[in-house]
Amino acid sequence: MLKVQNLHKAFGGVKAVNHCSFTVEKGSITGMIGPNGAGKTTMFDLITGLMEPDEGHIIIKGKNVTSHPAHKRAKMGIARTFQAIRIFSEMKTLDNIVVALKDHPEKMYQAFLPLKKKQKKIEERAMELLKDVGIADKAHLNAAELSFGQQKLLEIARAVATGADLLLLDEPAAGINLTLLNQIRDYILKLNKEGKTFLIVEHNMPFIMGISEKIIVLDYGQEIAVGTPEKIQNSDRVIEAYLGKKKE
Amino acid sequence: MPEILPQIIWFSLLASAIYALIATGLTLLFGILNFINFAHGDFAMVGAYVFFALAIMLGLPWWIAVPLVIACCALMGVVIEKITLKPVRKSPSFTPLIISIGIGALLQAIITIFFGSGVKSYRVEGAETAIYKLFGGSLIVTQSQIIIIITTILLLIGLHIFLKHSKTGKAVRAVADNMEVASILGINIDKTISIIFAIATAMAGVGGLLIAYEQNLSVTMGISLGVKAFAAIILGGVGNILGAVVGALVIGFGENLIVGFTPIPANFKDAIVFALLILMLFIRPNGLLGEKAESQVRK
Amino acid sequence: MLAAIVNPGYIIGFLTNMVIFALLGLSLNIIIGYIGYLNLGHVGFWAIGAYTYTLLLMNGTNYFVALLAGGVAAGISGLLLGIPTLKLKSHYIAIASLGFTYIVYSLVINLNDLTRGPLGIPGIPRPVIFGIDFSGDLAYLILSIIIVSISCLIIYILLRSPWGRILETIREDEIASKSLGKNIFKYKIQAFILSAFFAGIAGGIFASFHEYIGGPGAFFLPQLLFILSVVMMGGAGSFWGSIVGAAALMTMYEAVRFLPIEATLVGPTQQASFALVLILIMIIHPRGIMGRKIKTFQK
Repeated sequence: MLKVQNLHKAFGGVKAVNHCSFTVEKGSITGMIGPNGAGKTTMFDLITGLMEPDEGHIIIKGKNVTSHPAHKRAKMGIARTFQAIRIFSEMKTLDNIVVALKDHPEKMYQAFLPLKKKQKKIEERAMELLKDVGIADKAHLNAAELSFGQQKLLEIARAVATGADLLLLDEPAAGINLTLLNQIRDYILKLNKEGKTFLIVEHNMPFIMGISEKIIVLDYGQEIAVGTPEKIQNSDRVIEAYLGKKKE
Repeated sequence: MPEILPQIIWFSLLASAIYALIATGLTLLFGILNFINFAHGDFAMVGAYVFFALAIMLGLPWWIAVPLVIACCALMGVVIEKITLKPVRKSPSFTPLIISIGIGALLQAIITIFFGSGVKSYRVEGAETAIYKLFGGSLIVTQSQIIIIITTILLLIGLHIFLKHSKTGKAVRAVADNMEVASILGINIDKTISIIFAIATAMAGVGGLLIAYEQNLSVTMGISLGVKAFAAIILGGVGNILGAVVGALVIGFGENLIVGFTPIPANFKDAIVFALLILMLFIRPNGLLGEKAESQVRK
Repeated sequence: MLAAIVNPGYIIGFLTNMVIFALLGLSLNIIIGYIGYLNLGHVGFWAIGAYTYTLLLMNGTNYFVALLAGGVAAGISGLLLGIPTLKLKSHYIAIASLGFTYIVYSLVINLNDLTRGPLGIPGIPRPVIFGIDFSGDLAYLILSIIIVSISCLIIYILLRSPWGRILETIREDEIASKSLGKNIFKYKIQAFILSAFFAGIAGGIFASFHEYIGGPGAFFLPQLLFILSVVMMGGAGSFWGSIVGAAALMTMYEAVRFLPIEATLVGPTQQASFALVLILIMIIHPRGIMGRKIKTFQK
């Protein structure tokens, strides 16, 4: 599904991602962990095309997309959430989803076509997605009025709305309560059953270890360990990376 | 036409000097407050008119008038900042930017109300300025032009020493670097910002009176000065004082060389500068010396 | 004074101006309020529309062809300004677009053969359409209202459409929008062309209304200040706001005429009052009369 080959990105002297390679298999839930500053968010930015790598390749669904702009990669079926939530806060919750849907008639000339029916269908579809994450009753509020946890759910639902089959979630569990956490877990598992592939960056160890089939550990921009959660939890190198410095 | 080259170089230096005075203040403000002051050229215009009022209308000698101009402009900068910009300091940078557009227009209107819209001059009839001919007559230099160059160099050196070595200068750099950290370190942010505004507006005011000394005064003179200062700081990389000076030199030389050696008429000088600016932004969006690039990404 | 107000000719002139500036404000609002960029080049688009229309019309072109050609010429210039600037950070777009206004102004003033420079072009006719003569003031007002209403309707449909929704995602968060697969550069360019097109149409209506265009200072910063004030006062991102803003500011513009001041002071007093209004709005109530909260301008 996703292949990262020898990827490298430096800011000045700091190597945020340092000749890193790994793969994410189709249909899997892959976790990505690592101490703060290990290059996880930079990795997401490189994969989604918000940043250009200095070296290396990114291959999505067998296609080398290293030189593709972000919107083109998104169109290939890859969507993400952000560590600091990026929703369209002064737009309605429903519209946040509507704009992400694939058949949103967003061409300029389409404004002048009679597409009332189509629009209605799209709104219904968006409403379903909001129902899936349990915030359908907030559909007509501005997204800014949602609680932090609801905004996170909205952001995930928006990524799902694009129809992407590879979803990159950047710290979905950070800063939310247990009930919501379980809700997010169930949602991810349900989508995974439907065939979606996940790559999830997370600091919450019980959460990520419980949900992932495979864990990639990053430190100083390099993959230092790859394996099942059990294997990772017993890896000396991983323990050193975490305990040798500040514990997360 | 190599015989006109010394003269063109001299004119380029003169223009660069004035642009540098205005651009350094602009870049200082940007460095600290992260907004582009669209009224900066108009601060220069006010400086020119204050000098006109004091030296020509009231007949004060220049050694009294010039310090008064500096004081008036510095005070104006501080007052404007306190009233209009301090309340929106935490707002996104478009808010102060639009306010500064309003301030520029307001200053132009006020000066027009007091002085009229006609072009004015410092020149007193019958008075002659000293003229020096160099290189066998191929370079003509007036006394006022020499004053402009010397004043500019002294002011820029003074600013450099102030920022590098004085305690206040260090505070200024700390605030520019990170306002929150500076405030935790016990630096008085309000006072530091006031000082920067005072310096930036005073330098613009001196720039304005110098250019008026060499050319004429008009209410709209600040517009072209301001946009050239923008061009200079963009060329040099925003927030960078050395960059602003380099940018000013590039623009000063660029516009004079183009007009001197191509058939493009002098009227198009400004248009060329801006066309080149837009082209430059396209090719090198972070300026020639730009380093602080990533921090200006739209959030 | 009262006689002047109730004079129907006066009211008709007032309303025609208001309608023209409503279209200018609304078209600028597409950029400021919907994609969230500060475009200071709008006056340039307006001027290009006005001159294209005038030159074609006075050379015998059909009225509608000339009017549309003015819009198209402005739209093309929007494309030309957009391509090099719309990938830049927002500050730079503000400066580059101000540079564009300056370039257009400089061309208008200096291309004497085409524009008659500072003399301007007098004697611009008003149209006769399907045998109906629109040369009377009232008839021309009605024609202006019809054209502006059609223009506003088109803009309204577009802004309320899914297309307009994508523009709003750009204002809210470009990075998120990109990550959803939106080619935001394409949308920004489309919005720029649309905005410029209608500024050009406004230019055509304006030219025949005054039956004259040009003169020093026309299509320059004072007008830019006025249009910007219309948008900010009415509220960025509000369709009806721009229309309300145009009405409010035109009223203020005219009210200044009735102040007991000398005729030469009317212009600068008008400018000072818009500048003050703009500054006050941005400090006290940046969302304007009817606008919504917009990240780019508010906390």
